[in-house]
Amino acid sequence: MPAPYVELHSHSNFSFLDGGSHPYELAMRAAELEMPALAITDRGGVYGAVRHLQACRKLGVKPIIGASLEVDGEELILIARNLRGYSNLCRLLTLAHADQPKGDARTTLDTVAEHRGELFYLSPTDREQRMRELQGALGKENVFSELHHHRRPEDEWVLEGRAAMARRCGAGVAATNEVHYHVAERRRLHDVLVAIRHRATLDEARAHLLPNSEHHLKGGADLRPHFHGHAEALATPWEIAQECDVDLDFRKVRFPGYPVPAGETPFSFLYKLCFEGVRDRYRPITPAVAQRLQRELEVIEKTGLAEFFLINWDLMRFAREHGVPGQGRGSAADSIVAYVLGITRVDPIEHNLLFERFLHEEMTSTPDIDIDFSTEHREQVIQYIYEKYGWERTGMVCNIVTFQPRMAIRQVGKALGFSAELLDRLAKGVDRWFTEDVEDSMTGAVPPPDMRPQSWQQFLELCREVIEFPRHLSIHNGGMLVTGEPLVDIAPVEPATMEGRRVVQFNKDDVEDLGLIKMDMLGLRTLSVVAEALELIKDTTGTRPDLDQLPLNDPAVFEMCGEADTIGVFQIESRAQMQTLPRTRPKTFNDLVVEVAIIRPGPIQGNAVHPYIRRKQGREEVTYAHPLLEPILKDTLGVILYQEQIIEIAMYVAGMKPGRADGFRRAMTRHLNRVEMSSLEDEFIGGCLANEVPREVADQLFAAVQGFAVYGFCRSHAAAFARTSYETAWMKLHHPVEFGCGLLNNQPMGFYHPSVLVEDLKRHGLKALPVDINLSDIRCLPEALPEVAPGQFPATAGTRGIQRDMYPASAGTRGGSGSASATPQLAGGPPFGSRPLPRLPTESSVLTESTLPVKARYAMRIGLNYVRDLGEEGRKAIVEDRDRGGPYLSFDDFINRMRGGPIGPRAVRNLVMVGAFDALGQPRRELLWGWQERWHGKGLRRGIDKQSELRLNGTAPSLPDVDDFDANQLEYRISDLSTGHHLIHFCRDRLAAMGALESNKLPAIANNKQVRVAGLVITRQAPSTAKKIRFFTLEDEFGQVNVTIKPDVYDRYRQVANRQPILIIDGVMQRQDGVHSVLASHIQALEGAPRPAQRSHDYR
Amino acid sequence: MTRLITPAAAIDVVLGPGGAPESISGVLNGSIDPIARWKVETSWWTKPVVREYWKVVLNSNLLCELYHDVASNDWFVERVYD
Repeated sequence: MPAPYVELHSHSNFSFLDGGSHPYELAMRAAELEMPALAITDRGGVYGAVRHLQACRKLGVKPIIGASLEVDGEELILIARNLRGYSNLCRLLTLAHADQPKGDARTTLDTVAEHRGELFYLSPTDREQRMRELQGALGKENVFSELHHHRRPEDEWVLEGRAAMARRCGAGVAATNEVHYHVAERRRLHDVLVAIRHRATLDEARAHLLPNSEHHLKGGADLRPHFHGHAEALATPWEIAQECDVDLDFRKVRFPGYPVPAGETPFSFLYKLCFEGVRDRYRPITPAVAQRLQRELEVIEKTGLAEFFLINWDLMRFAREHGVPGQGRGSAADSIVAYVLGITRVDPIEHNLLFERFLHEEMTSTPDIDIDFSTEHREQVIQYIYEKYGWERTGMVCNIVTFQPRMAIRQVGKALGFSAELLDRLAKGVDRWFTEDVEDSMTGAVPPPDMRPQSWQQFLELCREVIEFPRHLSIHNGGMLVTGEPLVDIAPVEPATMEGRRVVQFNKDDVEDLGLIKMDMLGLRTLSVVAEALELIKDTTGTRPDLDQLPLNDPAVFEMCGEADTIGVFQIESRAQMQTLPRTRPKTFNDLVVEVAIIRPGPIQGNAVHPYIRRKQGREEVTYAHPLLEPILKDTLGVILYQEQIIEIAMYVAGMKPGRADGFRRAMTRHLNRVEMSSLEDEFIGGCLANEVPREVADQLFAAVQGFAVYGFCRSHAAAFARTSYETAWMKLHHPVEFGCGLLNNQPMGFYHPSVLVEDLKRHGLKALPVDINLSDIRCLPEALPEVAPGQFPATAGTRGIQRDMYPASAGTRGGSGSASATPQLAGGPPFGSRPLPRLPTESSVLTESTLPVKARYAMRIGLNYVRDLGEEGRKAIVEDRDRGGPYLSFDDFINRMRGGPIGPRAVRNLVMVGAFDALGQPRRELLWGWQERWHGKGLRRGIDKQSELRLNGTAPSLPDVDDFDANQLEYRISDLSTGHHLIHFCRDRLAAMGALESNKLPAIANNKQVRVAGLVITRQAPSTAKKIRFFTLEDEFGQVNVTIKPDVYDRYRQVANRQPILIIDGVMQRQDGVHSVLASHIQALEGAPRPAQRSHDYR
Repeated sequence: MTRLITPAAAIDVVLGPGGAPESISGVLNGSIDPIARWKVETSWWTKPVVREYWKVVLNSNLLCELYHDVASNDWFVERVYD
């Protein structure tokens, strides 16, 4: 019986754009062929190695780890014999990527020789001299001549020639099939990927395509006919494979040493820090606290994780010392050790958090500490880690960018030779929020009439196949690897596009599976918002609130949340949250924790949200599918809301041990393929049945867990987030102007466009003041209202920018001159202009200190950061110049002082047209007359002498003023928001004539009544859990309207709904539990409406 | 010298027990000895071409290239070396 054949040269789709199959597909095919071993040898890397390892092990195929590398211009396959060989491979791959264009890896034989050892090498060279060089450099016994046969014309004699050459050199021969896909049918996709790689159509890329589909995984029986007389070549790969044993388990080397004071061990030092910290956090220290701390420290000692905690403690210490806002979240918030060390801010005792979710004795993976830092400061923290642990031991985790529907359509279509116009139409027609099936996403897309149906079918099939295929390597936003051994011995490292950054070839899942420590440091803009708002509150009130001391029980905060007045509030501002809050009416911090956890795809898909709400309102009985579930789900009224509950279900219902239960939870939280999911299901159901749980209950439970698992929060994570939700809600309620400034200054972030935030502020009776050349700072800032006498409030001194009283008394008001010139009107509508812009308070409307609430003493002055094209340099230049030389007295004064500075003509025009100079008295259009000549400092155009016909008159002709509507349009266009009227204000008469109701009239409309609503679209959503139902939010000058659009209605009006900024929607009022929305039946755009830039935020 | 026959000329083929061609008739006639074979699969995105090529010696003295068009199951002679 011949020796089994094993494949030692195979490219998965992690040979980016050169592999047509996933690692698990290759492994499955190998198992089907009864291949005892399979190598993965991707180009320039081991990106797919972990997946390969896991897939092979599950299928009983021995995994072999290797890579394909370009050495002196020729391909060389390297196979790792053991961990030392693997480390050599990693070093080589690292060197091969250094100093190369991104994604390329090439090196020389000398370099390969420097890192030889415990590696096998397969070379397809035909040159005897080269073979002898390889043998000399790498060891004769390690180098094999690679023989192929792909049924090409020359293969027969090339094979014979190469075999003869190998004999002359005394080299072993090893047959491979240079595999690029697992089955022949995938050849098409491989061709397409090659074409994409060459940025060409298939026709143009012909020369680069393989000539047939013989590069699939084959068994010995298929290959034997082509290797007559070379039986040993087919046997050698198995001989090689038997000598290989690489187990990628780096648990022993995962920590860098943490330097502790003399006389201490890492554990004793941790112990000391904990007992110092507990005194700060708990007063008094109760027995429960002491016992919990002791228990956790025992587990930490047993699992050897003291250094892990010290590393994170040190990081947070650095952050605090340098004023970097940060907080730990994730399951770390379950830990009292993390709490007393200052890594997290949630008290696990008070919030009943499960330590075992974070850490337990049987834990085989590393625990997870994610830390959010303010986006602005995160880089500082990353640099600190690089410096503290050394560049050799630190690197960023990679992120594999995969094909998604729009990219698939464009790139596959281009390869097939489809026209750019067609592809543009198809790609744009795909919902930005894709559904599971790309074909579904293109519903309604019609192929051109002259296209062969077969071509269209091929296109759809290829798009479907390529979804989730790796496209290229990118950097994970905040995942950083810190290792005990040099990183390059553990994983190859490549230069990232970002200067000074190195990225490892493993992603976050791989890193976890390898037992390595990953620090997740994400930039959370909300923390930047909070930090900035706190500083502004200090400016306006004299005191900087200490959020750590903030009691979490202000009823007014919960009242505001219950009213869904949460635009801008962290985690609870989305449409879905705003529709849930009035129903759940959170009254305590724990209620807020549930609120944060509940509006995720997890609970929604797991069918938990509505039952929870009904049960919270007492409208439904709390029931449990099985008695074993009661103790687990009691806190959440019988519904699965937390990841911790999955662990408990796996343990107490499916009978898994704690370690396995956590592994189950982890596996369920990943995006698994069908095969992997089915295996988990069998395990779970089997365990339930053994516990005498009825089959249908077990099935139901697995479905609920499956739906939940990928996106559900862990309770501690929800608690940590809820803390920030509460704090931002508190700030919004008590310091809305400062908070609003923080939000506007840290965009893009959050659920809403900045214009929506400004409208929300105005609806709360507060003022947003437009850009002013003398009063606006670089950023949006609170500005004391003029009727408040300077000096009466401590903060006026602290408010940056120029005080209003520097303006001459004759300075006009903003925008239109208020003249009786023709009032513009929208096409077909009645004239308007009878509604003046909101004016700043005049002397006759002074509010005294005693009558004015604190928060109304300030308005938000829009900063120069909201002037298009001005740029950071331009903003700074203006403010610094003003600080030096005093306020600008005129537009010409500005021009003269800023000439030669970093402000371009477009920015100057924008400043004028947004009204920045309005307070100086001259109409905008007049200012712009001939300004560029003055900007250049010459009466004539530069370089042209005395061309009198070009000389401009000294005085501008009479030009039409910018009226209210124009000013509004200009402000939207230049600042992307409006401090004056809402855009819809200008359409109101027309909308009223069409019967569209104002948003504030809708609460009075009864359930099921027909209604017409209209507004600016501010969000479009198509959550994947919503079965293709879309949710839009419209905004008018009075508020917002939620609209629900069913698939058939959406399909009918898709183009209008997706593209038009102002919509008029007919539908039926749906009202429940104080929440209302309109179920749409007809959608139209407002004809002739002004067209602001799209400001809708669109979401899955 | 090699001569490409354009368009390739259709022939009839008798196959041996192993599936290899044994003799041909049509524009060329006689018994054949196959000496090489290869497979070409291309242009699947427009007009698929799937051909099994055979390099054969006809009547012990003429080297030719034949191909079997898999889709139509027809045989053709494409090239002679004379």
